Amino acid sequence: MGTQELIPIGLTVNGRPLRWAVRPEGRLLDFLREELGLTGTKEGCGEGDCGACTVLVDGEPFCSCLLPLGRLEGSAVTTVEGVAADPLGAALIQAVADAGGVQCGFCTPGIVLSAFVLVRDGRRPGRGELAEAISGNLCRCTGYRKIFDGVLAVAGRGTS
Amino acid sequence: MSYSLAMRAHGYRYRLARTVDDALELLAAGGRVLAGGTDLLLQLGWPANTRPDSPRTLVDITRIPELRGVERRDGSLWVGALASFADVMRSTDVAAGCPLLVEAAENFAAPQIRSQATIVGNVMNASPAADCLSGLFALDAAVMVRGPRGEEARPIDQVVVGPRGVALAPGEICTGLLVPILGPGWGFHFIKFGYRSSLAIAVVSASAAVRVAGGRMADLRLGVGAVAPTPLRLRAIEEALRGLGPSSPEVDRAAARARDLISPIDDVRGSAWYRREITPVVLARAVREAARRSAAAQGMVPWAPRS
Repeated sequence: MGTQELIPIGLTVNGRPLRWAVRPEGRLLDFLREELGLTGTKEGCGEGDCGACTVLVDGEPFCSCLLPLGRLEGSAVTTVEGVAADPLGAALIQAVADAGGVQCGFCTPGIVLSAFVLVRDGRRPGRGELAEAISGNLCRCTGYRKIFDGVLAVAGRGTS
Repeated sequence: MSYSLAMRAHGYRYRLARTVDDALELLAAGGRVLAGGTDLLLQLGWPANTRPDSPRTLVDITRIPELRGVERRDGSLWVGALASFADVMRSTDVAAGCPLLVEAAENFAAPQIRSQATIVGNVMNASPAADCLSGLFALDAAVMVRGPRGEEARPIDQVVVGPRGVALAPGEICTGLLVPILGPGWGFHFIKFGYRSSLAIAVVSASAAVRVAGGRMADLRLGVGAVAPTPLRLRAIEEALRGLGPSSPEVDRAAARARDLISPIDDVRGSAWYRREITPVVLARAVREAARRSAAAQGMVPWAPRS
C-alpha cells in the first residue's frame, strides 16, 4: 500500500482547534487513536455495523471508521473524552457505570456518544426513543437493560 | 460493480472534488463517485488498497455545495446528491412532499449511518433491496444526470437497470433526484419486512401511495423491492385496485397477482418461495394503511379496523 502525500487540515477535536498534516485517505478513527492518543474511541468491526467507533461530527453521530480525513476540513469532532469533560456527559457515564451497564466496556464509549445526543438538550426520552438512539450500537455483554436504566436516570437533568 | 472490484483488486487513489466539473475531470480517467461511502468504502476494502499513483480515482463529492439540499421545486421534491438520510428525516419539505422517503429513512440502517449515507447513494448503489427505491419507482422519480452534453432528467427505471447496475456513462454524474409530489389527500406507507428493525437488509419491501375518494381507492402508486433484479412498479395491480374499498377481500385477491409479476431469488435472507408467499401480504398491508392515512388526511372517519 502506497502512502499518499500529507495535506494540512484544520479541525476542532473536543473543542480544541488543530492544524495537522494527514493522509486525506486515512480514517478519522485512526487519526483520533494514533495521532491524538484519544483511545476512548474503539474499533469493533471497521464496517459501520457495531457503533463502537461512534463520534460526533458537528454534533451528529457518525462511525469514525467510515470517515476519510480529506472531507473533514473545518469540522468539529467530539469523542468520549470530550463527553466526559462535559458535566452532563460525565454524569451520563457515571450513571451507566453505576447502573451496571458496563461489563467489558468495549461498546461503552460508542453507546455513551449515541445516548449523549439524546439527552444533551435536557429531554426525557422514553425507552423506545432510547432504543432507536442506540440502535447502531451493539453490546454483547449486558443485554442493554442496565444501559437503559443508567441513561434514563440522567435524562432530563438539564442542558450540557 | 465490476469497476469497484477492479479498484479493490488493483488499487485506487483518493481525491476531494470542489465542484461538479472538478469531479467529472477526476472521473475522466476512470473511478467512482464517493458520496456518503457507507456502501462503497466497504466494497473497495478501504482503507486498504489505496495507491497514490493509481489511474483509478475515488472522487469524494461531499464538499461540493451545489449538491446539497432538499427543497420543493414547483410540483416536485428536489433531493440533492448529498442529502443524507438524516437530512430527509429532518426536512419539513420531505415530510409534506414525499412521506415515503421519511419512512424509508426511518427504517434504514442506524443513526450513525443515516448521518453519512445519502438517498442518491442508495439509488446509485442500486441494490434490489434498497430501502428508497421501491417508493421512488412507485412515484416515477427522475434522476438528474450531468455530463458533457449538459444536464437532463431520466426516469429512474432507465437508470437503475439491474442489481448494482446503473446506466450512466463514464463522465456522467447524478446531481440529484426530482420526485413528483402527489399532493394533499394522498396517504403513504412503506413497509420493510425482515429480521431486524436496524442495520438489516429487507426480505421484502413495499411502498404504497393511495388516494381515497367516496370510500374507495381512487388512485394508487405501488412499488415492491427485494423481489426482482430491480424494484418494480406494479401498474397492473394499481389498475386492479382502483375503485375498490380498502377493506374489501378483493384487495387481497388483487395483491396476490404480485406473485406472477415478481422474480425473487433464494438468498441468505430467505427463499424465493417465501418471498412469493409474503409479498402479497406485505403489499396489501401497505395499501390498506396508505388508504387509512389518505382518509385521515381528508378528515374522514376510518371505516375499518387496521388488520
